[in-house]
Amino acid sequence: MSPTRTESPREAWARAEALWRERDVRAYAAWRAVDPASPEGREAERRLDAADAIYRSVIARLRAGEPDASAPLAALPGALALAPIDPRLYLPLARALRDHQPSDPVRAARYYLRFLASGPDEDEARAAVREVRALPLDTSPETAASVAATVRAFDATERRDTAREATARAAGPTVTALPAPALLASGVAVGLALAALGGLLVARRPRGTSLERASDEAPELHPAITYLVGGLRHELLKHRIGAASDALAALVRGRATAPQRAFLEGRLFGGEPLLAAWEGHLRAFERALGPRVDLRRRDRAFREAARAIAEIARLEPLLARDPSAAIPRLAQAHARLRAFDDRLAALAARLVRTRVDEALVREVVDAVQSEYSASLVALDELRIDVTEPDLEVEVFRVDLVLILKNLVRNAILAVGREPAPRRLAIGVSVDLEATGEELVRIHVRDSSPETLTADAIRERRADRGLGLVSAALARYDGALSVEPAGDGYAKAVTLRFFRALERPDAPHAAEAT
Amino acid sequence: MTGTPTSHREAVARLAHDVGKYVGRIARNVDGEVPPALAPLLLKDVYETHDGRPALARLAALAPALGPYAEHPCLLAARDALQRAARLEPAARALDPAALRALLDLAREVESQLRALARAVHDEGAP
Amino acid sequence: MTTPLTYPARPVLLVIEDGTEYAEFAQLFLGDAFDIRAARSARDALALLADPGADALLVDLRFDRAPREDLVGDVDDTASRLFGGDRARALRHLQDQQGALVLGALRAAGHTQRAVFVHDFPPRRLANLRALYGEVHAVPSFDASALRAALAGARRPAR
Repeated sequence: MSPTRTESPREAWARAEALWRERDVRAYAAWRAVDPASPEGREAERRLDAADAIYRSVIARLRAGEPDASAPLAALPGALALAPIDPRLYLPLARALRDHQPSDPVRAARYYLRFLASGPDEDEARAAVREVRALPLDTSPETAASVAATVRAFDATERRDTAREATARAAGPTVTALPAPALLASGVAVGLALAALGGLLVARRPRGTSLERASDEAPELHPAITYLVGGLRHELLKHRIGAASDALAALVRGRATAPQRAFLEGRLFGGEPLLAAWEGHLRAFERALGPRVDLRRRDRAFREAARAIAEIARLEPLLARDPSAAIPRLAQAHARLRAFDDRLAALAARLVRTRVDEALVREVVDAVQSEYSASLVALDELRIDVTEPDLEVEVFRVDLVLILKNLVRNAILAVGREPAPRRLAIGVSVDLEATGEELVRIHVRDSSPETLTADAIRERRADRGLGLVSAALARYDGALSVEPAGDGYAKAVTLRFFRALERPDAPHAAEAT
Repeated sequence: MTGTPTSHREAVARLAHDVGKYVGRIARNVDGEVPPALAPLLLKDVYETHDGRPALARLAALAPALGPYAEHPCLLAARDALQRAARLEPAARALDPAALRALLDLAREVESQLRALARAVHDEGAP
Repeated sequence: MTTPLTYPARPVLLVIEDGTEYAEFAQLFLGDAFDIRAARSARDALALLADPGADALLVDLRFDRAPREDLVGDVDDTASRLFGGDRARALRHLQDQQGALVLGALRAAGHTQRAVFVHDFPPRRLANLRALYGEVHAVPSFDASALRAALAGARRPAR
C-alpha cells in the first residue's frame, strides 16, 4: 500500500493513523509507507520500532514459559497503543498463545484470524487454517462463527484452485496465478476479529497510580515509559519551556530585548497552545500505559506540572497588559516545570539501567525454578555470587531478566539431563580494561558436559530462547561466550556488558551562554 | 530508524567528540577579532572538520544513526548554526572580518549545543 | 675556552593523535610555553620519547584515521574477548579508545610523563585511568587556559 504521487507525508500519516484507529490490518503497511525522511515518517518509524520490541518480547516470554502465563500479555496493551503490530508477527503470536495459554484459545484464534486477513502466503495460510479450526472455541460463539466463516471461505478457494490447476495442467504447462485467499474480502471475519481485539485489554483493572510507582511495579512498561517520557521532555519541556529560559531570565532582570521578548512569547504562546500540547502528551501516556497509571489524579508531579502549564497559558494576556505582575508568576511556573523535567530525567535514567545484584539473580532463579520443567530438576548445588556494590549496566530490566532467564533455564535443563551431581553457579565479576572502562561479566556455570558454543547460540532459532538472547545482546552492545569451567563445573556461559557510569562532571566554566 | 538505543547514544557521543570538539577548537580560544594567522584554521575547523568534510556534512551523515535525537532541539540548533556558517563561507574565505567574527560565534554555538546534547543523552538513558 | 651557555629549554609537549588538529592547536596556543612535537602512533611516540624525550603528553582518544597496523591492540583478540567474535565492533572499539591504549603502551615502556586527554570523561573513567596510568588529566574541550592549567609544572622524570 503506497501513497499516491500527490499525497504529502502529512496526508499519508493521517491516513495511516486513521487505519490504525480502526484497527485495520492494512495499518502497519500504511505506517511503514509514510516517507521516512519526513518528520511524520520518522515518528511512525520510532513508534513502530518501540512497539515491535514489545511485541517480540511478548512472544519470546510466552514461548519461554512463565509461571504466570498472563504476565507477558500485560505488556500488549501498551504496545497496541503505540503502533500497529507487524502482520508477520500474527502467526507466531497466535501459535505462542495456543501453546502457552491453552486456557484462552479464543485469544489465539483472534490472532489466527488477523493473520489470515493479512494476505498471507498460501502454505502458511493453510497451516494457520488447520491450526485455528482445531481450537476449542465454545466459550466464544462469535469467534467460533468467524473462524467457521473463514475456514469455509478458505476451503472454497482451495477447491476452486485445485480445479483450476487440474484444468491448467490438462491445457498445458503455463503458470496459473492463484487468487489471494478470499479472506481479505471476508468483512465479517475481519470485523469480528477487530471488535474482538478491543477485548484483548487486560480484564483486571487495577487502580491507576503515579508514573514512578507504575514503573517500579511493572518493569515490562519501561520501554514504553522511556519512549513517552523522552517525547514529553524533548517536545514540550525542552523545546518550548526550556528554550525560553534565557529570555525569561533576562525578562526577570528587566533586561530583555525586544527580540528576546518576541522569542519567549513565540515559544510559550505561539504554535499549538501549551495546554493542548500537554493534553496530547498526557493522552499518549494514558493510551500506552492504560489503567495502570492515573496521571491526572494520582501522580502529584504530573498534577503540579499540569497546574504550572495552565498558569503559563493563563499569563499570556497579563504579560502584555501588566508585565511586572505577570513576570514573577511566569518565572515561578517555569521553575516548577524545570524541576518536573529534572524528575522525569532521573526516572528515565533509572529505567534503562539495571542494578546487577543478588536480588536480580535470585529473582531470575526463582522464576525459572518455578517453571514446570525446571522444577523437576533437583539441583545438588546452587551458588549465587554477586558481591560488587553499585553495579549497573545500561539495559532495560525486562531485557536483562529475559536474557538471564534463558541462560539459567538452559543450564538447569541441561544438568537435569545428566546424572548427579547437578550443579549451577551464577556469579558476577567486574574487570578493569586497559582503556579505563569496566567490563561486567555475568557467568552462568553448570555441570552439564553437553557441548554448547557461542556460535550455536547465535544461530539458533527462538525455540530455546537463545536466538533471542543474541538479538537482545546486539541491541545493547553486549556479548556472550561459552568457556570450559573448572571447580566441578563443565562450562560457563558468560554475558558481557560495559559498566554504566555516571555522566561527566558539571558544565565547563567557559561554556558559551 | 536503524540502530538501537545504545547505538543512538554512541552516535551522539561521536558527534560531540568528532564534530563538536573540533569545530570549537580555535573558536573557543579567540575573543572578538580573529587574528589573520588563525583565520585559515578557523575555516578548516568549520568547513573541513577533522577529516576534510564540512561539519554540516558530518552532521547530515551521522543523522540517520542518531535515531530520535535527530530531532532534538540541541541538534537542530547546531544544524541551524552550521547552515548559517555555510552561507557565510564565501565571505569568511575572503577573510572578511565581520564574517569571521560571526563564524567564531557560530562555531562556539555548535560546540556548545553538541556538548549539551551529549550530556542530555547521558542523563536520559534511552530516548 | 669558555663553556657555552645553555639556556633552559622549554618543556617538550608530545602530541599524540592521528591527524594534525591537536598539534596545530598546541603550536598556536601553547607554543609559547612548550616545544611541540607530534606522533601518530605508539611506535612514533616511543621513538620521540627516546629522543628528544618529553615532559608531558597531549593525547587524543579516538584514532579513526590511523592505519590498522599502527593501532595498539589486536582485533581478533579483542573481538573474541569482548564482542562475541564481531571483528567490526572490535576494530571500532580499538579506534575509539586508542589514545588510552597508546598511553598504556608508553607506560609499559617506562614513560611516566603526565598525560592530558582532551575528552569529556565520566569521573569514574578518569579515576580508572589514573589508577592504571598514574598522572592523567582530562580537559573536556580545546580550551587553551584549561590545558595550560592541566599541563602546568609537568616535567619528565629525572634520570
